[in-house]
Amino acid sequence: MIFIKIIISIAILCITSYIGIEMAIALKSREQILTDMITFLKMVQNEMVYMLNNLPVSYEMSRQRLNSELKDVIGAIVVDMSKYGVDKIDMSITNNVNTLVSLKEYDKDIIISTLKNLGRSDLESQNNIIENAITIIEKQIKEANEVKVKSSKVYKTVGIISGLLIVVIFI
Amino acid sequence: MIDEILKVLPKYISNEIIRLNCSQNITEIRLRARAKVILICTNREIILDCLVTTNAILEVLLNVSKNSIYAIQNDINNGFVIIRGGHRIGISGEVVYVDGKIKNIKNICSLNIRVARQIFGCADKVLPEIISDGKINNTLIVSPPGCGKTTLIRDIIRQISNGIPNMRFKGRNVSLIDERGEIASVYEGVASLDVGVRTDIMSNVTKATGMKMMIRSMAPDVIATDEIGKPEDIVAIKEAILSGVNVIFTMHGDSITSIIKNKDIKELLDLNIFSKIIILSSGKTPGVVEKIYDTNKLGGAA
Repeated sequence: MIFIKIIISIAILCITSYIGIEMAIALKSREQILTDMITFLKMVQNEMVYMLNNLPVSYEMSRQRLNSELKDVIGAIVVDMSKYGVDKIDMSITNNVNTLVSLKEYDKDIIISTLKNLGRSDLESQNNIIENAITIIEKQIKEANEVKVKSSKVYKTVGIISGLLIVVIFI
Repeated sequence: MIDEILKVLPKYISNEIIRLNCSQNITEIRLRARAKVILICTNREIILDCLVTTNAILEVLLNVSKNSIYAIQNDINNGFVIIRGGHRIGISGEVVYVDGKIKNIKNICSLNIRVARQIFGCADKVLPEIISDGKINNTLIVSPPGCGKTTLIRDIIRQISNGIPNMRFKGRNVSLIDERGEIASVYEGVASLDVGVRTDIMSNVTKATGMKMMIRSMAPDVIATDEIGKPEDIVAIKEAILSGVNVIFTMHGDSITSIIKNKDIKELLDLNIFSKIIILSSGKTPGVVEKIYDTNKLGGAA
């Protein structure tokens, strides 16, 4: 009986700690995706300005340097760009960016609106769109970093402590 | 033949064209904002029921540029874009100038999609005049607009480049200056229309500059270009002749009398630069040769 209680206690502690750690990782993941987005936009800007490559080629070349889930999301958008006409690309961008669960809604909004506006005007306007997006995302990265620093340890600690509490109270 | 055009059109327009089942006869598709689509066929004009919106015109450009209008900005500023298959989309709208140069065409309101057609063998009847004893005669093809001079020069270039076995003529290196992309219709670096295996193409450049560049870099046996007539073209042509290159050109006109009104062309004719002058008929059927002048023979119809 005691043996079973110990196993259940360890399981509860592991689960709650895992939840705490996952929430802390999500904070880190948000910062990483936003940083990758800036890298991506800068590389796309280079592809546009110096190579005059079209968007599918620019996206495909630029996403190779990414390290986060953003790489696969951009890859899916590139595939859809090759398969479908203009009318379906906007939906593809929205659906694929929404799969990035670590991002907040306003993070996703800026990424979606930037990707939807790219390609629709001349080079100077493209540069402006990218520069504006980078400025906004840099502020979001700063906010994400502050939240990560504040909350990451709290989530991990709360995870362990709540597991211990559940064990003590109920077991 | 117009599959590549249907791919770039909005679905509601392409479906309507497919429904009519006349695509093999279409020579032009005209899209004008807030007007109905007009199809120009070989013997009639068809006005479709569907209305063109400004969004539809934007959609065509986005499809053509693969969602990257900036990437075709240079083509837009030139007033036309070539798509896969060699079809040419003419663009009109509001021109934006900066420092005297065209920076953009905004509020694009009309597109003219010209279906590319190549007629193999249309030069067969004139080639024995252009080539004699294995040598190429400098040739000027004169015709009014829409009478087949571009189609004819394309086939001449193709056959000279490939060689003509039944004339025992070996292929020659041809440099083609395709200023407006109408002869070879280069798309993503590849000629969409067959201009021969020994043809080098310089596109999107003025004829004068293109000729000078080709002579310096590509060692051509023949230089060909469409619609000469400007003073700078004439200077470049004289340089080409001095380099020992044969030339084949076209120009607008309907007779010798009409072309000698251009004093620069008259100067070339006076210098006897062209051995052959081919006049195309302005009748209903394009590509009909009205007369061929041999300038080596005095008073000369061949």
